[in-house]
Amino acid sequence: MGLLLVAYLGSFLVGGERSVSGVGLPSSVEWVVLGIVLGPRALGVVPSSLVSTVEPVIAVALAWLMLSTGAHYAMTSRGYVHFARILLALASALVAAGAVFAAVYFGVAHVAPELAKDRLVLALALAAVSCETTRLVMRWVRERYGATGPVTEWLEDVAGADDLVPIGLLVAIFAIAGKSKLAALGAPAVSGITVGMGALLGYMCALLLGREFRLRESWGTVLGISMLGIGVSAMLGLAYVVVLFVMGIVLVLASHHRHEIRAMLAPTERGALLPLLIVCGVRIEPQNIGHTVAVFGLVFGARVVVKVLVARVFTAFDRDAASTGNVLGLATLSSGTLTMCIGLVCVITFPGAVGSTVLAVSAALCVAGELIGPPALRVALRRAGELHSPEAREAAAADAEPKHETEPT
Amino acid sequence: MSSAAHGQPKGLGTRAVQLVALAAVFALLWVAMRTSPHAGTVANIAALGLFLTGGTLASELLEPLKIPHLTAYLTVGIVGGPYVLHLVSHESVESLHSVNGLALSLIALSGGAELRLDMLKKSVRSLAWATVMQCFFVLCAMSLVFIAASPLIPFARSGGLSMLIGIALLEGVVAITRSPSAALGILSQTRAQGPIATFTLAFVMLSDVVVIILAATVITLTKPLLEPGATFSITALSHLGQEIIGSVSLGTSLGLLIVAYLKFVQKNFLVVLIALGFGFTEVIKYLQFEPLLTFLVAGFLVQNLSKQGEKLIHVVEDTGSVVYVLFFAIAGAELDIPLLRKLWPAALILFLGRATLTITANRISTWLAKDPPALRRLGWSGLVSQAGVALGIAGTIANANPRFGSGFRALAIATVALNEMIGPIMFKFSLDSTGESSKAPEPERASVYSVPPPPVA
Repeated sequence: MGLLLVAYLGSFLVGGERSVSGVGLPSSVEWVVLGIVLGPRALGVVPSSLVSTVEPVIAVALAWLMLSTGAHYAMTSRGYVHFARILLALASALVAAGAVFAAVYFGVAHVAPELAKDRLVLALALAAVSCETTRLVMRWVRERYGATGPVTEWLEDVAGADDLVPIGLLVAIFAIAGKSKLAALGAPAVSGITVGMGALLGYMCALLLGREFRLRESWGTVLGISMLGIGVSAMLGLAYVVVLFVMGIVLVLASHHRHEIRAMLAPTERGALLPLLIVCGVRIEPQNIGHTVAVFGLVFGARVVVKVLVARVFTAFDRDAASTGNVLGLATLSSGTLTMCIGLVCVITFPGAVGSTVLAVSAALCVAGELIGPPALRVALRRAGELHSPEAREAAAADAEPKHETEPT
Repeated sequence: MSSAAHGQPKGLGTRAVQLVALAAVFALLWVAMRTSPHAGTVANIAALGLFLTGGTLASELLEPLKIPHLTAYLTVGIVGGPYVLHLVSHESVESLHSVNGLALSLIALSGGAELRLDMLKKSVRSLAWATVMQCFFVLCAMSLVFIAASPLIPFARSGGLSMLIGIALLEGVVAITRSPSAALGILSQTRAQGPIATFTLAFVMLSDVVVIILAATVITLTKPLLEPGATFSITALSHLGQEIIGSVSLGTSLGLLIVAYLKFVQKNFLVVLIALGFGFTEVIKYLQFEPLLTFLVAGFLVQNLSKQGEKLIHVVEDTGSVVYVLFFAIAGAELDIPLLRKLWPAALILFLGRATLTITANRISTWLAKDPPALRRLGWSGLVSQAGVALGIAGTIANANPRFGSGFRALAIATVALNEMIGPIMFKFSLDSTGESSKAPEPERASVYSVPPPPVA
């Protein structure tokens, strides 16, 4: 509860809803840093034991966020993402995941031999945390720089539709290495039950919400079924975040009230997210900094290479994006909520070196993405001529001034 | 919370879907419990899901029978709880007590905010006579009923006559407690307006303060009767004074804070309320003040000393679909059914005696206060329910008197179980029969969960 209060007061300090367009960072990574500062390795305000005590609350918050993410899947500020774009986003995320998986699976024995025995789980988990592009970065560039145009739309669609790949990888991780009570049924059956339970609960929730949408009753229904889904799947050792993600997708697909449901869930995201990010910071253990840095190098290198290559392919086929160059690939490096949530799920499910490494690499990816992604995105969209806010024009003029000095005409 | 007032009755197809969904919810948890019987804390989350979903579905299914939603929530708690299907363990029920604290704080805030000064002024005569009769008369008369029923109660015969009188007076104190949560829950469901609704709300909230004072006084006065050699001590009354003044002071400060927040910030008030419900309740308990009284005073202050009362009521009302379901389902899961089966003859006598005395006291007080006929006939109906306050006082008495404490607590639990199950049904039926229940569709309004219009894609 204290964490919730700190996060809530903090969100006031940085402007709450304005944080995306105002002073906050697109990845919200500042909250992870706050967690590190408050955690046992720095000030010690939040001890590890406290975080362990509130683990069920963390599980609920994580799953709730995934429900909302599922309900908003393939949805952007312009409406639904076109099916072809969804396939494109999934393909791009799959390529990134594949590259990271290969880099870690084959490279970890060289850079961190102590992690080699768990390399399959580690490679899958790191692939899951490194294949998404946070949708918040697109909201940030739209709100702060008034970005509009075909390249912005393409990037927005990719960021809004690539979440399915990390979620799919999470299903695989739980089926292969989780502690499911149904493990005797085999990994494919466990995966099927996980997805099936989410779909069943989503459909049941849509049926119970019925034709007439009454906000007050809807809260009881959505919250109740979500709690049931989290509790039952956690008891069975299934990936509860996946159950809720699938439930979110099916709920909005099956219900007549999809707009109302999304509007109902969206304001709750921040309240659930900020304490989670602080918890991520608290749970990061910098003792094994050596192998974390080495593994991060592998992951980040593979991620950058793949993103740049994918952007090259795209710019080769798209005239609008042709002027952006390699920087378009760097623009998609931002990661955020989903990455940190998967990192947290991994550290809870696989306590020890694997979980800690995945969480630390997730945080490092967010920080690196924060440093490179937004500036690169701004440059790419400026080159494409898609930044339209007065602030963007001023920035463009400021950038142009030194050119006049060095290259007078 | 309900579709009771939503105009269109639900068809057979909808009911069938709800029934299948209810069965599916129980089946899911049954499978999970069979597969993982010692799941630890995650089982608490599943229990919350069962209570919320099952309670909401059961209330919808029982609606055609005009049974109150609270009774449906209780039933789901009983059936799913540790004494029947054992889908929720004792440990989970214990762990969910913190959720109960949150629910109780919201219920008390809402109860205080519903007490408008002008309404109290109008009914001051009725309330004064009702307090005299329902508290003092019922306390003394129930003591006599207990003495009459003592041959059926083993622990009552363990001492001499003085001990029997002492225990009987303590039973009288437990008997005069009411259930603010049940009254508010039924009023929230029916959105009733009229003399019975107004009187019940005002009396139940105010009697809570009287009961706290009377309980401490009687516990102090009966000490010499219950413990050989014990002497009368004024210290307990001094503690009582501190508790009441402290609670009122803290409630006033909290009320002022809420007014300031609602006036200047407003944003995310629900989060603030939840934080208050969890955090502030613990602070109040640490200070050994009374949480119910504190939140009641805070709500009363917000309603009567500011213009923010309606906002507060609306926000708390919006949580009704969650708060009441959880509160009563957890209460249902706590009901000790085997104990009730064992003590049912004595519990039934005490239940019938209390109900008869409540009706008699109502007849006398409403006649003395010259109340309207509806109140004379059915004003007692909202006063039968008992829940957490009664169990809290019974627990305090049991802890203070180890000689007969466990037996006393067991009998109180069994009696409260009957009052808790039957009381809300009586109250709802009386509101329905006098036409005080609202039949108009519930107005949908902007709330903390405001849903903006769908985006134009």
